[in-house]
Amino acid sequence: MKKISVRTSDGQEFELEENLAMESATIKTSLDAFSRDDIILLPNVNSWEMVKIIEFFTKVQELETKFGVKFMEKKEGRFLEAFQAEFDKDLSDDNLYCLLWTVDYLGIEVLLENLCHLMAERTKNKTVESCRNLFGVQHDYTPEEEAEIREDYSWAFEGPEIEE
Amino acid sequence: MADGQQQLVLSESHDLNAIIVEILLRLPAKSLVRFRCVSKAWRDLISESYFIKNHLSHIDTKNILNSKLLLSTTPPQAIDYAALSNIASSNEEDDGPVASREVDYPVDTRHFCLEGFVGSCNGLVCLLLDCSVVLWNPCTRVIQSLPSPSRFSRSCLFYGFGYDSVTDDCKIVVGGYRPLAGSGHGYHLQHGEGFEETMIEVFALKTGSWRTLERLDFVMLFGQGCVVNGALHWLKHQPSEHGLIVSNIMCFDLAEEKFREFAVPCPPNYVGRNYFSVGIGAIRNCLTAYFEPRDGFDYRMWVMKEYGVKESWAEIIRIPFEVLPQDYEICLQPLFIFENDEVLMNINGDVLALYNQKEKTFRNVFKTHVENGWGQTTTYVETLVSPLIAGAPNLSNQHCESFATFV
Repeated sequence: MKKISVRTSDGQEFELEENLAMESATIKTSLDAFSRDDIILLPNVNSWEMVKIIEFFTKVQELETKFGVKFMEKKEGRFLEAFQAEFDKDLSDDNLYCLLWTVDYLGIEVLLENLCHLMAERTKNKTVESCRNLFGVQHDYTPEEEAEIREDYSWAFEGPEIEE
Repeated sequence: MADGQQQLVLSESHDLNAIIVEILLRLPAKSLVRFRCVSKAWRDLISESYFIKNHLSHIDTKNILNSKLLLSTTPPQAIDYAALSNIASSNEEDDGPVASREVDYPVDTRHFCLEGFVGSCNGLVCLLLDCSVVLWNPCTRVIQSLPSPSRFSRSCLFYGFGYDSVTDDCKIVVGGYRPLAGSGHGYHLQHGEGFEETMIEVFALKTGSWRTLERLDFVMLFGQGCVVNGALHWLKHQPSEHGLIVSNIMCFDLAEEKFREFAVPCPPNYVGRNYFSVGIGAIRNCLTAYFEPRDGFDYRMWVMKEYGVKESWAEIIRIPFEVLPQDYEICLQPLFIFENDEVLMNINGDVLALYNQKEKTFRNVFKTHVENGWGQTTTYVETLVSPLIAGAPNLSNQHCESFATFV
Protein backbone atom coordinates (compact mmCIF):
# COMPACT_ATOMS: atom_id res chain seq x y z
CA MET A 1 0.00 0.00 0.00
CA LYS A 2 1.35 3.31 -1.07
CA LYS A 3 2.26 5.75 1.66
CA ILE A 4 1.61 9.44 1.53
CA SER A 5 3.87 11.79 3.45
CA VAL A 6 2.55 14.83 5.20
CA ARG A 7 4.27 17.49 7.22
CA THR A 8 2.45 19.31 10.00
CA SER A 9 2.82 22.93 11.09
CA ASP A 10 5.49 22.12 13.63
CA GLY A 11 7.68 20.36 11.13
CA GLN A 12 6.87 16.79 11.97
CA GLU A 13 6.43 14.29 9.20
CA PHE A 14 3.94 11.45 9.10
CA GLU A 15 3.36 8.62 6.69
CA LEU A 16 -0.23 7.77 5.98
CA GLU A 17 -1.56 4.83 4.06
CA GLU A 18 -2.98 6.05 0.81
CA ASN A 19 -6.55 4.91 1.39
CA LEU A 20 -6.63 6.68 4.74
CA ALA A 21 -5.06 9.83 3.36
CA MET A 22 -7.77 9.90 0.71
CA GLU A 23 -10.42 10.13 3.43
CA SER A 24 -9.31 13.72 3.73
CA ALA A 25 -10.91 15.72 0.94
CA THR A 26 -8.19 18.33 1.30
CA ILE A 27 -5.33 15.86 0.97
CA LYS A 28 -7.09 14.14 -1.91
CA THR A 29 -7.35 17.43 -3.77
CA SER A 30 -3.63 18.01 -3.24
CA LEU A 31 -2.78 14.53 -4.44
CA ASP A 32 -4.85 15.02 -7.56
CA ALA A 33 -2.95 18.21 -8.28
CA PHE A 34 0.55 17.09 -7.41
CA SER A 35 2.69 14.00 -7.51
CA ARG A 36 2.23 11.42 -4.83
CA ASP A 37 5.90 11.41 -4.10
CA ASP A 38 5.83 14.94 -2.81
CA ILE A 39 5.37 15.70 0.83
CA ILE A 40 2.07 17.41 1.47
CA LEU A 41 2.38 20.43 3.69
CA LEU A 42 -0.35 20.94 6.26
CA PRO A 43 0.34 24.29 7.90
CA ASN A 44 -3.04 24.26 9.61
CA VAL A 45 -2.51 20.94 11.27
CA ASN A 46 -0.54 20.39 14.41
CA SER A 47 1.35 17.18 15.07
CA TRP A 48 -0.72 16.21 18.11
CA GLU A 49 -3.81 16.53 15.95
CA MET A 50 -2.32 14.28 13.30
CA VAL A 51 -1.50 11.72 15.97
CA LYS A 52 -5.13 11.73 17.06
CA ILE A 53 -6.40 11.41 13.52
CA ILE A 54 -4.15 8.45 12.87
CA GLU A 55 -5.27 6.93 16.18
CA PHE A 56 -8.86 7.26 15.02
CA PHE A 57 -8.24 5.55 11.68
CA THR A 58 -6.25 2.79 13.32
CA LYS A 59 -9.01 2.09 15.77
CA VAL A 60 -11.66 2.15 13.07
CA GLN A 61 -9.73 -0.43 11.07
CA GLU A 62 -9.51 -2.62 14.17
CA LEU A 63 -13.25 -2.36 14.69
CA GLU A 64 -13.97 -3.01 11.02
CA THR A 65 -11.90 -6.16 11.17
CA LYS A 66 -13.50 -7.21 14.43
CA PHE A 67 -17.12 -6.53 13.50
CA GLY A 68 -16.96 -6.89 9.75
CA VAL A 69 -18.70 -3.56 9.15
CA LYS A 70 -17.30 -1.01 6.75
CA PHE A 71 -17.65 2.14 8.84
CA MET A 72 -15.72 4.23 6.38
CA GLU A 73 -17.91 3.30 3.49
CA LYS A 74 -21.04 4.12 5.43
CA LYS A 75 -19.63 7.55 6.32
CA GLU A 76 -22.07 7.81 9.14
CA GLY A 77 -22.86 6.45 12.51
CA ARG A 78 -21.43 7.06 15.89
CA PHE A 79 -19.05 4.24 16.12
CA LEU A 80 -16.82 6.50 18.11
CA GLU A 81 -18.85 5.34 21.10
CA ALA A 82 -17.01 2.06 20.88
CA PHE A 83 -13.75 3.68 21.86
CA GLN A 84 -14.85 7.09 23.02
CA ALA A 85 -13.53 6.69 26.53
CA GLU A 86 -10.04 5.96 25.26
CA PHE A 87 -10.07 8.47 22.47
CA ASP A 88 -11.14 11.49 24.40
CA LYS A 89 -9.72 10.93 27.85
CA ASP A 90 -6.65 13.03 27.19
CA LEU A 91 -8.41 15.66 25.13
CA SER A 92 -9.41 18.84 26.90
CA ASP A 93 -12.49 20.71 25.66
CA ASP A 94 -10.29 23.31 23.97
CA ASN A 95 -8.19 20.62 22.29
CA LEU A 96 -11.27 18.81 21.11
CA TYR A 97 -12.59 22.02 19.62
CA CYS A 98 -9.27 22.66 17.84
CA LEU A 99 -9.26 19.12 16.54
CA LEU A 100 -12.76 19.66 15.23
CA TRP A 101 -11.61 22.68 13.20
CA THR A 102 -8.63 20.79 11.88
CA VAL A 103 -10.69 17.80 10.83
CA ASP A 104 -13.11 20.18 9.17
CA TYR A 105 -10.22 21.80 7.32
CA LEU A 106 -8.96 18.41 6.23
CA GLY A 107 -12.45 17.43 5.14
CA ILE A 108 -12.60 14.06 6.91
CA GLU A 109 -16.37 13.67 6.95
CA VAL A 110 -16.69 10.56 8.97
CA LEU A 111 -14.48 11.76 11.81
CA LEU A 112 -16.13 15.18 11.71
CA GLU A 113 -19.55 13.69 12.42
CA ASN A 114 -18.18 11.77 15.35
CA LEU A 115 -16.31 14.72 16.77
CA CYS A 116 -19.37 16.98 16.49
CA HIS A 117 -21.29 14.42 18.49
CA LEU A 118 -18.49 14.19 21.03
CA MET A 119 -18.29 17.95 21.33
CA ALA A 120 -22.06 18.13 21.83
CA GLU A 121 -21.79 15.58 24.66
CA ARG A 122 -19.11 17.73 26.26
CA THR A 123 -21.12 20.90 25.82
CA LYS A 124 -24.66 19.92 26.71
CA ASN A 125 -24.29 20.19 30.47
CA LYS A 126 -22.16 23.31 30.53
CA THR A 127 -23.17 26.57 32.11
CA VAL A 128 -23.63 29.60 29.90
CA GLU A 129 -20.32 31.09 31.07
CA SER A 130 -18.21 28.05 30.37
CA CYS A 131 -19.89 27.72 26.98
CA ARG A 132 -18.91 31.30 26.14
CA ASN A 133 -15.34 30.64 27.20
CA LEU A 134 -15.01 27.45 25.24
CA PHE A 135 -16.31 28.87 21.99
CA GLY A 136 -14.89 32.32 22.50
CA VAL A 137 -18.23 34.08 22.30
CA GLN A 138 -18.60 37.75 23.06
CA HIS A 139 -21.09 38.39 25.84
CA ASP A 140 -23.54 40.93 24.43
CA TYR A 141 -26.55 40.88 26.73
CA THR A 142 -27.06 43.56 29.32
CA PRO A 143 -27.27 42.22 32.87
CA GLU A 144 -31.01 42.97 32.89
CA GLU A 145 -31.61 41.14 29.62
CA GLU A 146 -29.70 38.12 30.81
CA ALA A 147 -31.47 38.10 34.17
CA GLU A 148 -34.81 38.11 32.41
CA ILE A 149 -33.94 35.08 30.31
CA ARG A 150 -32.64 33.23 33.35
CA GLU A 151 -35.81 33.91 35.24
CA ASP A 152 -38.22 33.08 32.44
CA TYR A 153 -36.51 29.78 31.66
CA SER A 154 -35.18 28.99 35.10
CA TRP A 155 -35.87 25.28 34.66
CA ALA A 156 -33.23 25.08 31.91
CA PHE A 157 -30.62 26.50 34.25
CA GLU A 158 -31.31 24.00 36.99
CA GLY A 159 -30.70 20.32 37.31
CA PRO A 160 -28.20 17.89 38.75
CA GLU A 161 -26.65 17.29 35.36
CA ILE A 162 -25.48 20.88 34.87
CA GLU A 163 -21.76 21.27 35.58
CA GLU A 164 -20.60 23.93 37.94
CA MET B 1 -0.48 18.26 24.18
CA ALA B 2 -1.17 21.88 24.80
CA ASP B 3 0.77 23.16 21.79
CA GLY B 4 -1.33 24.51 19.07
CA GLN B 5 -4.14 25.64 21.36
CA GLN B 6 -6.01 28.53 19.90
CA GLN B 7 -8.70 30.68 21.30
CA LEU B 8 -11.08 31.30 18.43
CA VAL B 9 -13.08 34.44 18.85
CA LEU B 10 -16.26 34.69 16.88
CA SER B 11 -17.21 37.93 15.33
CA GLU B 12 -20.45 39.55 16.34
CA SER B 13 -22.12 38.75 13.09
CA HIS B 14 -25.16 36.52 13.03
CA ASP B 15 -23.40 34.06 10.83
CA LEU B 16 -22.17 31.56 13.31
CA ASN B 17 -19.53 29.27 11.92
CA ALA B 18 -20.74 25.99 10.53
CA ILE B 19 -19.03 23.92 13.19
CA ILE B 20 -20.83 25.65 16.02
CA VAL B 21 -24.10 25.14 14.20
CA GLU B 22 -23.35 21.41 13.85
CA ILE B 23 -22.60 21.15 17.53
CA LEU B 24 -25.73 23.05 18.54
CA LEU B 25 -27.89 20.85 16.33
CA ARG B 26 -26.80 17.87 18.40
CA LEU B 27 -27.58 19.37 21.79
CA PRO B 28 -30.68 18.48 23.77
CA ALA B 29 -33.44 21.10 23.71
CA LYS B 30 -32.97 21.96 27.37
CA SER B 31 -29.33 22.95 26.74
CA LEU B 32 -30.37 25.08 23.79
CA VAL B 33 -33.01 26.89 25.82
CA ARG B 34 -30.25 27.76 28.30
CA PHE B 35 -27.73 28.67 25.59
CA ARG B 36 -29.98 31.34 24.16
CA CYS B 37 -28.32 33.27 26.95
CA VAL B 38 -24.82 32.83 25.51
CA SER B 39 -25.19 35.66 23.03
CA LYS B 40 -27.78 37.32 20.85
CA ALA B 41 -26.40 35.61 17.77
CA TRP B 42 -26.87 32.22 19.46
CA ARG B 43 -30.39 33.22 20.51
CA ASP B 44 -31.24 34.22 16.96
CA LEU B 45 -29.87 31.01 15.50
CA ILE B 46 -31.66 28.83 18.04
CA SER B 47 -34.97 30.55 17.26
CA GLU B 48 -34.72 30.17 13.50
CA SER B 49 -37.27 27.78 12.06
CA TYR B 50 -34.80 25.99 9.75
CA PHE B 51 -32.54 25.37 12.74
CA ILE B 52 -35.45 24.10 14.81
CA LYS B 53 -36.58 21.77 12.04
CA ASN B 54 -33.04 20.48 11.51
CA HIS B 55 -32.61 20.05 15.28
CA LEU B 56 -35.79 17.98 15.41
CA SER B 57 -34.42 15.64 12.78
CA HIS B 58 -31.41 14.93 15.02
CA ILE B 59 -33.60 13.75 17.89
CA ASP B 60 -34.28 10.06 18.04
CA THR B 61 -37.96 10.35 18.95
CA LYS B 62 -38.38 6.59 18.93
CA ASN B 63 -35.94 6.14 21.78
CA ILE B 64 -37.96 6.21 24.99
CA LEU B 65 -34.91 7.41 26.90
CA ASN B 66 -35.34 10.76 25.18
CA SER B 67 -38.94 11.07 26.29
CA LYS B 68 -40.73 12.45 29.29
CA LEU B 69 -43.93 11.15 30.83
CA LEU B 70 -46.32 14.03 31.42
CA LEU B 71 -49.01 13.74 34.08
CA SER B 72 -52.15 15.85 33.83
CA THR B 73 -51.89 17.31 37.32
CA THR B 74 -52.19 21.07 37.70
CA PRO B 75 -49.55 22.13 36.93
CA PRO B 76 -48.47 19.15 34.86
CA GLN B 77 -45.53 17.10 36.13
CA ALA B 78 -42.87 15.55 33.95
CA ILE B 79 -40.89 12.42 34.69
CA ASP B 80 -37.84 11.34 32.69
CA TYR B 81 -38.10 7.92 31.13
CA ALA B 82 -34.32 7.75 31.42
CA ALA B 83 -34.67 8.01 35.21
CA LEU B 84 -37.38 5.33 35.20
CA SER B 85 -35.20 3.13 33.06
CA ASN B 86 -32.33 3.48 35.55
CA ILE B 87 -34.60 2.39 38.36
CA ALA B 88 -35.85 -0.53 36.29
CA SER B 89 -32.38 -1.79 35.50
CA SER B 90 -30.91 -1.24 38.93
CA ASN B 91 -33.34 -3.53 40.73
CA GLU B 92 -32.44 -2.06 44.08
CA GLU B 93 -35.28 -2.30 46.53
CA ASP B 94 -34.32 0.84 48.32
CA ASP B 95 -34.16 3.15 45.31
CA GLY B 96 -35.88 6.37 46.16
CA PRO B 97 -38.91 7.41 44.14
CA VAL B 98 -38.21 8.84 40.72
CA ALA B 99 -38.03 12.62 40.57
CA SER B 100 -40.73 14.62 38.87
CA ARG B 101 -40.53 18.17 37.70
CA GLU B 102 -43.42 20.58 37.82
CA VAL B 103 -43.42 21.94 34.32
CA ASP B 104 -43.51 25.69 33.97
CA TYR B 105 -47.11 26.04 32.90
CA PRO B 106 -48.05 29.43 31.48
CA VAL B 107 -51.77 29.11 32.14
CA ASP B 108 -53.82 30.88 34.78
CA THR B 109 -54.98 27.79 36.63
CA ARG B 110 -57.60 29.70 38.61
CA HIS B 111 -59.57 30.26 35.43
CA PHE B 112 -58.61 27.47 33.12
CA CYS B 113 -59.08 23.86 34.05
CA LEU B 114 -56.94 21.20 32.42
CA GLU B 115 -59.46 18.70 31.11
CA GLY B 116 -56.97 16.40 29.50
CA PHE B 117 -54.21 15.74 27.04
CA VAL B 118 -55.15 15.28 23.44
CA GLY B 119 -51.65 13.91 22.87
CA SER B 120 -48.18 14.92 21.87
CA CYS B 121 -46.29 15.23 18.61
CA ASN B 122 -42.79 16.53 17.79
CA GLY B 123 -42.47 17.99 21.26
CA LEU B 124 -45.80 19.82 21.18
CA VAL B 125 -48.40 18.83 23.73
CA CYS B 126 -52.02 19.41 22.82
CA LEU B 127 -54.23 20.22 25.79
CA LEU B 128 -57.93 20.48 26.39
CA LEU B 129 -58.40 23.52 28.57
CA ASP B 130 -62.04 23.90 29.46
CA CYS B 131 -63.54 24.01 25.97
CA SER B 132 -60.41 25.13 24.17
CA VAL B 133 -57.85 23.16 22.30
CA VAL B 134 -54.40 24.48 23.07
CA LEU B 135 -50.94 23.69 21.72
CA TRP B 136 -48.03 23.97 24.10
CA ASN B 137 -44.32 23.33 24.03
CA PRO B 138 -43.36 22.48 27.64
CA CYS B 139 -39.71 23.13 26.85
CA THR B 140 -39.94 26.62 25.37
CA ARG B 141 -43.11 27.53 27.29
CA VAL B 142 -44.79 28.90 24.17
CA ILE B 143 -48.51 28.29 24.13
CA GLN B 144 -51.08 28.84 21.41
CA SER B 145 -54.79 28.46 21.67
CA LEU B 146 -56.39 27.15 18.52
CA PRO B 147 -59.59 28.35 16.93
CA SER B 148 -62.53 26.32 18.22
CA PRO B 149 -63.62 23.36 16.17
CA SER B 150 -66.71 24.57 14.37
CA ARG B 151 -69.09 21.87 15.49
CA PHE B 152 -68.29 21.55 19.10
CA SER B 153 -69.55 24.14 21.45
CA ARG B 154 -68.89 21.85 24.36
CA SER B 155 -65.97 19.62 25.11
CA CYS B 156 -65.25 17.02 22.55
CA LEU B 157 -65.67 13.43 23.58
CA PHE B 158 -62.76 11.78 21.87
CA TYR B 159 -59.54 13.17 20.53
CA GLY B 160 -55.99 12.45 19.49
CA PHE B 161 -52.80 14.05 18.17
CA GLY B 162 -50.34 12.39 15.86
CA TYR B 163 -47.90 12.68 13.00
CA ASP B 164 -48.79 12.22 9.34
CA SER B 165 -45.64 11.16 7.51
CA VAL B 166 -47.16 11.80 4.09
CA THR B 167 -47.61 15.52 4.64
CA ASP B 168 -44.86 15.73 7.29
CA ASP B 169 -47.35 17.43 9.55
CA CYS B 170 -48.93 16.92 12.94
CA LYS B 171 -52.70 16.56 13.09
CA ILE B 172 -55.16 17.05 15.91
CA VAL B 173 -58.37 15.05 15.70
CA VAL B 174 -61.42 15.81 17.84
CA GLY B 175 -64.77 14.11 17.72
CA GLY B 176 -68.20 14.03 19.23
CA TYR B 177 -71.69 12.80 18.53
CA ARG B 178 -74.67 14.53 17.06
CA PRO B 179 -78.02 13.61 18.50
CA LEU B 180 -80.89 12.53 16.30
CA ALA B 181 -82.94 15.44 15.14
CA GLY B 182 -85.92 15.86 17.41
CA SER B 183 -84.52 13.69 20.15
CA GLY B 184 -84.06 16.78 22.33
CA HIS B 185 -82.68 15.62 25.60
CA GLY B 186 -83.64 12.08 24.93
CA TYR B 187 -80.17 10.73 24.43
CA HIS B 188 -78.14 8.81 26.87
CA LEU B 189 -74.43 8.63 26.66
CA GLN B 190 -74.50 5.72 29.04
CA HIS B 191 -76.76 3.69 26.81
CA GLY B 192 -75.61 4.98 23.47
CA GLU B 193 -79.09 5.89 22.47
CA GLY B 194 -80.42 8.78 20.53
CA PHE B 195 -77.40 9.66 18.45
CA GLU B 196 -77.38 9.94 14.73
CA GLU B 197 -73.83 10.36 13.75
CA THR B 198 -70.27 10.82 14.87
CA MET B 199 -68.49 13.98 13.79
CA ILE B 200 -64.79 14.38 13.38
CA GLU B 201 -62.77 17.51 12.88
CA VAL B 202 -59.12 17.54 11.93
CA PHE B 203 -56.63 20.35 12.47
CA ALA B 204 -53.45 19.94 10.45
CA LEU B 205 -50.89 22.34 11.91
CA LYS B 206 -49.60 23.49 8.54
CA THR B 207 -53.08 24.47 7.39
CA GLY B 208 -53.93 26.38 10.56
CA SER B 209 -57.63 25.54 10.40
CA TRP B 210 -60.19 22.85 11.21
CA ARG B 211 -61.70 20.64 8.59
CA THR B 212 -64.88 18.65 9.16
CA LEU B 213 -64.84 15.15 7.80
CA GLU B 214 -67.79 13.65 6.05
CA ARG B 215 -70.56 12.25 8.13
CA LEU B 216 -69.78 9.04 9.79
CA ASP B 217 -72.13 6.40 11.03
CA PHE B 218 -72.54 6.69 14.72
CA VAL B 219 -69.74 5.06 16.65
CA MET B 220 -69.13 5.59 20.35
CA LEU B 221 -65.54 6.46 21.05
CA PHE B 222 -64.14 8.07 24.18
CA GLY B 223 -61.11 9.84 25.41
CA GLN B 224 -57.52 10.01 24.28
CA GLY B 225 -56.62 8.02 21.20
CA CYS B 226 -53.33 6.19 21.14
CA VAL B 227 -50.92 6.52 18.24
CA VAL B 228 -49.53 3.43 16.57
CA ASN B 229 -48.22 3.14 13.06
CA GLY B 230 -49.37 6.59 11.98
CA ALA B 231 -52.94 6.05 13.15
CA LEU B 232 -55.07 6.98 16.15
CA HIS B 233 -56.91 4.23 17.99
CA TRP B 234 -59.94 4.23 20.25
CA LEU B 235 -62.10 1.51 21.68
CA LYS B 236 -65.50 1.29 20.10
CA HIS B 237 -68.33 0.90 22.54
CA GLN B 238 -71.83 -0.26 22.00
CA PRO B 239 -74.88 -0.74 24.12
CA SER B 240 -75.79 -4.19 25.31
CA GLU B 241 -77.86 -5.71 28.06
CA HIS B 242 -74.80 -5.33 30.28
CA GLY B 243 -74.53 -1.63 29.57
CA LEU B 244 -71.86 -0.20 27.32
CA ILE B 245 -69.37 -2.80 26.22
CA VAL B 246 -66.32 -2.67 24.07
CA SER B 247 -66.74 -4.29 20.71
CA ASN B 248 -63.84 -3.35 18.49
CA ILE B 249 -60.91 -1.03 18.01
CA MET B 250 -61.48 1.89 15.69
CA CYS B 251 -58.40 3.09 13.93
CA PHE B 252 -58.10 6.45 12.18
CA ASP B 253 -55.27 6.68 9.70
CA LEU B 254 -53.77 10.16 9.90
CA ALA B 255 -52.60 10.20 6.31
CA GLU B 256 -55.71 8.79 4.64
CA GLU B 257 -58.08 10.23 7.25
CA LYS B 258 -60.21 7.12 7.14
CA PHE B 259 -61.47 4.75 9.76
CA ARG B 260 -61.06 1.04 9.85
CA GLU B 261 -61.88 -1.45 12.57
CA PHE B 262 -60.43 -4.53 13.99
CA ALA B 263 -61.24 -6.84 16.81
CA VAL B 264 -60.02 -6.59 20.34
CA PRO B 265 -58.39 -9.81 21.51
CA CYS B 266 -61.19 -11.21 23.55
CA PRO B 267 -60.54 -13.74 26.22
CA PRO B 268 -63.42 -16.10 26.87
CA ASN B 269 -66.23 -15.00 29.14
CA TYR B 270 -65.48 -11.38 28.66
CA VAL B 271 -68.84 -9.89 28.36
CA GLY B 272 -70.02 -8.72 31.72
CA ARG B 273 -68.30 -11.48 33.64
CA ASN B 274 -64.57 -11.56 34.17
CA TYR B 275 -63.68 -8.05 33.20
CA PHE B 276 -65.02 -4.70 34.09
CA SER B 277 -62.87 -2.65 31.77
CA VAL B 278 -60.76 -2.84 28.65
CA GLY B 279 -58.09 -0.38 27.71
CA ILE B 280 -55.76 0.06 24.79
CA GLY B 281 -52.39 1.69 24.54
CA ALA B 282 -49.23 2.00 22.51
CA ILE B 283 -45.98 0.49 23.72
CA ARG B 284 -42.87 0.50 21.52
CA ASN B 285 -45.11 1.35 18.59
CA CYS B 286 -47.24 -1.74 19.07
CA LEU B 287 -50.90 -1.69 19.96
CA THR B 288 -51.67 -3.21 23.35
CA ALA B 289 -54.98 -4.16 24.94
CA TYR B 290 -55.42 -4.84 28.62
CA PHE B 291 -58.31 -6.32 30.53
CA GLU B 292 -58.98 -5.13 34.02
CA PRO B 293 -60.49 -7.99 35.95
CA ARG B 294 -63.26 -8.32 38.42
CA ASP B 295 -62.42 -9.74 41.80
CA GLY B 296 -60.73 -13.06 41.66
CA PHE B 297 -59.68 -12.96 38.02
CA ASP B 298 -56.29 -12.37 36.46
CA TYR B 299 -55.16 -9.17 34.82
CA ARG B 300 -54.24 -9.75 31.19
CA MET B 301 -52.41 -7.79 28.59
CA TRP B 302 -52.12 -8.49 24.89
CA VAL B 303 -49.96 -6.99 22.20
CA MET B 304 -50.60 -6.90 18.48
CA LYS B 305 -47.24 -8.08 17.25
CA GLU B 306 -47.93 -7.37 13.62
CA TYR B 307 -49.93 -4.22 13.14
CA GLY B 308 -53.36 -4.81 11.69
CA VAL B 309 -53.02 -8.58 11.71
CA LYS B 310 -55.72 -9.93 13.99
CA GLU B 311 -54.02 -13.30 14.39
CA SER B 312 -50.92 -11.63 15.74
CA TRP B 313 -52.56 -10.64 19.03
CA ALA B 314 -50.51 -12.38 21.72
CA GLU B 315 -51.06 -12.44 25.43
CA ILE B 316 -47.82 -11.25 26.94
CA ILE B 317 -48.67 -10.50 30.53
CA ARG B 318 -50.91 -12.27 32.96
CA ILE B 319 -50.93 -11.08 36.52
CA PRO B 320 -52.56 -13.41 39.02
CA PHE B 321 -55.27 -11.76 41.03
CA GLU B 322 -53.43 -12.31 44.35
CA VAL B 323 -50.46 -10.36 43.09
CA LEU B 324 -52.39 -7.25 42.10
CA PRO B 325 -51.67 -4.22 44.31
CA GLN B 326 -53.91 -3.86 47.33
CA ASP B 327 -54.84 -0.32 46.52
CA TYR B 328 -55.74 -1.00 42.91
CA GLU B 329 -59.22 0.36 42.43
CA ILE B 330 -59.84 2.34 39.28
CA CYS B 331 -57.20 1.47 36.78
CA LEU B 332 -54.02 -0.45 36.17
CA GLN B 333 -52.69 0.92 32.92
CA PRO B 334 -49.47 -0.34 31.34
CA LEU B 335 -47.35 2.53 30.06
CA PHE B 336 -44.11 0.94 28.94
CA ILE B 337 -42.07 -2.25 29.06
CA PHE B 338 -38.38 -1.79 29.78
CA GLU B 339 -35.48 -3.84 28.41
CA ASN B 340 -35.48 -6.03 31.50
CA ASP B 341 -39.18 -6.79 30.92
CA GLU B 342 -40.38 -4.78 33.89
CA VAL B 343 -43.66 -3.07 33.13
CA LEU B 344 -44.27 0.53 34.08
CA MET B 345 -47.82 0.76 35.33
CA ASN B 346 -50.12 3.57 36.27
CA ILE B 347 -52.16 2.56 39.32
CA ASN B 348 -55.35 4.55 39.86
CA GLY B 349 -53.82 7.66 38.38
CA ASP B 350 -51.78 8.44 41.44
CA VAL B 351 -49.04 5.87 41.65
CA LEU B 352 -46.47 4.62 39.17
CA ALA B 353 -45.10 1.16 39.77
CA LEU B 354 -42.82 -1.35 38.11
CA TYR B 355 -44.15 -4.86 37.72
CA ASN B 356 -41.54 -7.57 37.61
CA GLN B 357 -42.90 -10.37 35.47
CA LYS B 358 -40.50 -13.04 36.71
CA GLU B 359 -40.87 -12.33 40.40
CA LYS B 360 -44.52 -11.31 40.07
CA THR B 361 -44.02 -8.33 42.30
CA PHE B 362 -44.88 -4.68 42.14
CA ARG B 363 -42.67 -1.91 43.43
CA ASN B 364 -43.80 1.68 43.59
CA VAL B 365 -41.56 4.25 41.94
CA PHE B 366 -43.65 7.38 42.15
CA LYS B 367 -46.59 8.69 44.08
CA THR B 368 -48.07 12.06 43.45
CA HIS B 369 -48.70 14.39 46.34
CA VAL B 370 -51.45 16.07 44.36
CA GLU B 371 -54.90 15.19 45.62
CA ASN B 372 -56.94 13.23 43.07
CA GLY B 373 -53.80 12.35 41.16
CA TRP B 374 -53.79 12.68 37.40
CA GLY B 375 -56.41 11.75 34.85
CA GLN B 376 -54.27 11.26 31.80
CA THR B 377 -50.72 10.98 30.66
CA THR B 378 -48.89 11.63 27.47
CA THR B 379 -45.31 11.09 26.41
CA TYR B 380 -43.33 13.89 24.81
CA VAL B 381 -39.79 14.68 23.69
CA GLU B 382 -38.16 18.02 24.37
CA THR B 383 -37.89 20.05 21.19
CA LEU B 384 -37.85 23.69 20.19
CA VAL B 385 -40.77 23.34 17.80
CA SER B 386 -43.06 26.32 17.94
CA PRO B 387 -46.78 25.81 18.46
CA LEU B 388 -47.59 29.18 16.94
CA ILE B 389 -49.97 28.89 14.05
CA ALA B 390 -49.50 31.55 11.42
CA GLY B 391 -52.66 33.55 11.12
CA ALA B 392 -54.50 31.83 13.97
CA PRO B 393 -56.13 34.53 16.02
CA ASN B 394 -55.84 34.40 19.73
CA LEU B 395 -59.47 33.90 20.40
CA SER B 396 -60.90 35.52 23.43
CA ASN B 397 -59.34 38.32 25.32
CA GLN B 398 -59.33 36.15 28.38
CA HIS B 399 -57.00 33.78 26.66
CA CYS B 400 -54.73 36.57 25.55
CA GLU B 401 -54.34 37.92 29.02
CA SER B 402 -53.93 34.68 30.80
CA PHE B 403 -51.65 32.81 28.49
CA ALA B 404 -48.16 34.10 28.52
CA THR B 405 -46.33 33.75 25.26
CA PHE B 406 -42.57 33.88 24.97
CA VAL B 407 -40.81 33.36 21.75
